[in-house]
Amino acid sequence: MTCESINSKMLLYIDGNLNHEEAIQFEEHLLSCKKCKTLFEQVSNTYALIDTEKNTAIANSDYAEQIWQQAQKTKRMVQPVNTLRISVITTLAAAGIALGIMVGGTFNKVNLQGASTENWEQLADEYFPEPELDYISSINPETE
Amino acid sequence: MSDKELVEQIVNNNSQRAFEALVNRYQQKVINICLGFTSSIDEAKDISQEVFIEVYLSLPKFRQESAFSTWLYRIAVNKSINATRQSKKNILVRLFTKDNANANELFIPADEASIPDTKLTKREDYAALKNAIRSLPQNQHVAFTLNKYQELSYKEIAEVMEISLSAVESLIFRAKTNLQKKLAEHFNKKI
Repeated sequence: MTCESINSKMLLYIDGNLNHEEAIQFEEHLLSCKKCKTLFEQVSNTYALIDTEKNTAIANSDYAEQIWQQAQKTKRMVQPVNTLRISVITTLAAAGIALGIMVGGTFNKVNLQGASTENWEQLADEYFPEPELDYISSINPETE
Repeated sequence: MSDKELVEQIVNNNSQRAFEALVNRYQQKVINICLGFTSSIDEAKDISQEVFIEVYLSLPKFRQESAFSTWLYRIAVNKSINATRQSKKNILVRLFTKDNANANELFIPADEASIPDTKLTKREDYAALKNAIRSLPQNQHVAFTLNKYQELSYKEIAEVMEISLSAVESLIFRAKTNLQKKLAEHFNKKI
């Protein structure tokens, strides 16, 4: 094994991820290379700090009870808001629909009333245009 | 009592006893996962509390399609990643505001109690290790943390991350190789 190869496999060796043959080659290299051995010691000491850290991070005896109390508080805070939100949204939606129907109905009536004569006349003019003047004069008895 | 029974008691009866039993069973495991993403033990404990509160609030939605532990570890990973993102944002804000005097210190673990020997060199090495872990690509970081901090098997990691066993092996191999490079760089600078 070369120094470069050793340098990339130190953590794998520490965690037992190398196969038997690789592990033996690794150990043999460390015996013959002082530089790699020094680096290996530094790396393994630092890597071992993870275990130290884990052993130090122990929860307090009342950890579970504290979380329960907090969870109850959070639940009380979250639930009314959700219920309120749902009811408010439903009410507003219903009110909006009702208002829309009322306003729409009122305008519809106004339009029908106001437009009933004028609009129908306009439509009638478009579909049944008035006859040509010449033609009218030809049949009007007064002009004769 | 099994996890399933405890979960049912919490959902159906809002049982404090069942909840505390569940927390006691998993507290250290969740703290360890959070520790893999944070720079201090206190921060890890804070995030772990948030994890259990979210678990409590989400339990009615838990369909027991996977093991409770798998579901719990997923929540712990997600919460930790979100907290890390928030922490990075805060660091950026501090760097670009007047309050940047101690910005460099943010990367050094705040909790000196986490390492017994608080000599400066050891603190620097520890900070280098934590920075190296945090600089890993996210999926490598998650796989490494679940393996090294939580000591889950590759099969369990595959379930939590919803990836194949060979993908887990590859991620952990790459994570350790990358970490090794960073640590080697750190120590070579010191020579």
